[in-house]
Amino acid sequence: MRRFRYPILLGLGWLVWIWAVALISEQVWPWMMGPHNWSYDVSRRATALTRWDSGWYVAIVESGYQNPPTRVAEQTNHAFFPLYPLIVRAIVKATKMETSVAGNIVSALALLGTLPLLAQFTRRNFGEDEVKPALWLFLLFPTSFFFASVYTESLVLFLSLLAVVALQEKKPVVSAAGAYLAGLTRISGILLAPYLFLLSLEESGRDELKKPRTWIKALVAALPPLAGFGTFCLYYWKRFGDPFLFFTAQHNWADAPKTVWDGPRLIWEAVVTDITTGRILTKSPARTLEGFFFVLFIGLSLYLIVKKRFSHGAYSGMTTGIILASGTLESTGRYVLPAFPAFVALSRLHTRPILWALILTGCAAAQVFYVFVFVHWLWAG
Amino acid sequence: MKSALVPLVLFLLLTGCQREHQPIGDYQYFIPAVVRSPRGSGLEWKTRVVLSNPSGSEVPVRAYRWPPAHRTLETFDVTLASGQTTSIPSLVAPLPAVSSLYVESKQPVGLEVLVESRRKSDLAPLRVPVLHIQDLARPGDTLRIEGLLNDDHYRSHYCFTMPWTEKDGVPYLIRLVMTTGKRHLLTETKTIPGVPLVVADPWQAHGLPPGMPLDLEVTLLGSNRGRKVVHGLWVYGIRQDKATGQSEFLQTRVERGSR
Repeated sequence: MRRFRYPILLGLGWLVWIWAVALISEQVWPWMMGPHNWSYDVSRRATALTRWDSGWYVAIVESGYQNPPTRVAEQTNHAFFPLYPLIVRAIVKATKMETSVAGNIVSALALLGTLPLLAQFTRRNFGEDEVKPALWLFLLFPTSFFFASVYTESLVLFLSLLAVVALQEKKPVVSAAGAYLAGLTRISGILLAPYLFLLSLEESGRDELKKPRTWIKALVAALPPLAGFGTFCLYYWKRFGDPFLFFTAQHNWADAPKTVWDGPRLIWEAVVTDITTGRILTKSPARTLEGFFFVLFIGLSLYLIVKKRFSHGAYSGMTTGIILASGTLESTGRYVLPAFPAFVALSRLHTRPILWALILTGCAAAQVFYVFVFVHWLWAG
Repeated sequence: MKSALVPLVLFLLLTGCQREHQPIGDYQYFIPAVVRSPRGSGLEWKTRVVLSNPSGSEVPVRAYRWPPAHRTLETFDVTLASGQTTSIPSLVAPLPAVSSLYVESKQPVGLEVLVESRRKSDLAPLRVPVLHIQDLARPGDTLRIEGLLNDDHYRSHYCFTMPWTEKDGVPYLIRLVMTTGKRHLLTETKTIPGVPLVVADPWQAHGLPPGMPLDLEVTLLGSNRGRKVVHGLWVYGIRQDKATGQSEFLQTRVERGSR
């Protein structure tokens, strides 16, 4: 129990910090608020950390899934997974609480559940010395404020870590439950399938790899996140007659028809344009930082693989790489948040005190900047 | 561990508790449609809301705009001297949004609401019906509108609307039935947002063949957030003569199912 105290107290302190930054940001320069298309009813009652995609979750909580899209560029809420809004809805129904407040509470509670698990994961896989640096970096990372916002990041991370830690501690039922629910929470939850498969093989040990039982066990460990996503698809099939509605909605989200294979090309073209026109320095620092996050996390994933942490490196790489399918790097800072092994890898820089202090200070300053532009509807993340 | 849950439960309950709206008087009026097009926007409509005090004593009046043009403009307070007439400034969200007004007073007041054209001085103003708050549909009640037309002579639209105080109960869950004559066309159960919502082209919105006369039936099922419905819902229909631009409110009938 004592081992949980530090992560939870740190998490509570961080929640106070991030809410203070958000609430102060909301009061500072209100004339800078960017445009948005939320109805007055929602925008007047939404909390400071309820912006952009939070609106889709609020709409699912309050009104459920809408009619399926009929054309490209028709954005609908089918692109969002159901578990987070379901939990928020249960709290709203039970307490009559304002929807965005309930969403913030679910995110905060999931974060407070995440931190002891992250500590446990780090302790087991990287050693006790890495625990505190990993927790600090994780919370001060510039985009970590999404863990307190009406977004699914903290819930999917909690469930993913639960699945991974439970698997390593030989609690297969708990692992399966966490993984199944992660598959109902966010697309990155599905990436747990290959992660748990590889991790199960690693946990079995090299000598066991020749036995079919080892591979069957790994396959069984990998199934729950896929079953979670499958349940989501079954729901769409039963409700709307289209089991692949999630993909249809994702496809129709773009302004023009495109496939996931167009994603890397579109990103490459945007990067080349930004570099050749000089926009990489002038257009938007946040946009440039997204590219930096992508390179950084791909690098950290490769570092983990080189260090023979194959499952952790592969999962971090896939979690970061999934952004390539979207056709834009502009949400990379948020997409990398579930890549928890990469955070632990980066936190190993704590052995160089000056560099480490600079990293944490820079991250904290960038976090304040990100919260300000997010709260002011200037950056979606 | 259990004791650690106590503050959380208290926090959840306190956050969920909300003070109920207390009207300033027993007289409560609802104006379902207030519109405003900013000058130079290319749109022509403005609303004049005239408030008068026929009584022999002064009357405090409070009007609630929903949604207003700005957060600070939700309410408007005035005290009317005996016999005084004044107008409520039309500080509502500009078109294409539509707004509503909810007015409270301690004694009966006169209310006249006219939507006027800035361009056509010969066009008679559209007189907006002033309802009593009790007229609104409560959960279980059904609102009926007949005679939505879209042909060579007329165009029509309809609008869901609610007063300011309903902001905590919305969105609403409704059942919508469309018929033409005695023929049933569709039944939909859907949620409607927390601000007045215009359905500008009902035929297109519901995938119905254009030109077919429509009758509309809307049953309020309740708050989709599981909250109390304070006042309720109204639906109005407007039919406009294409040749003259003259508009008229179609009659909305209420069938009480809530009592």
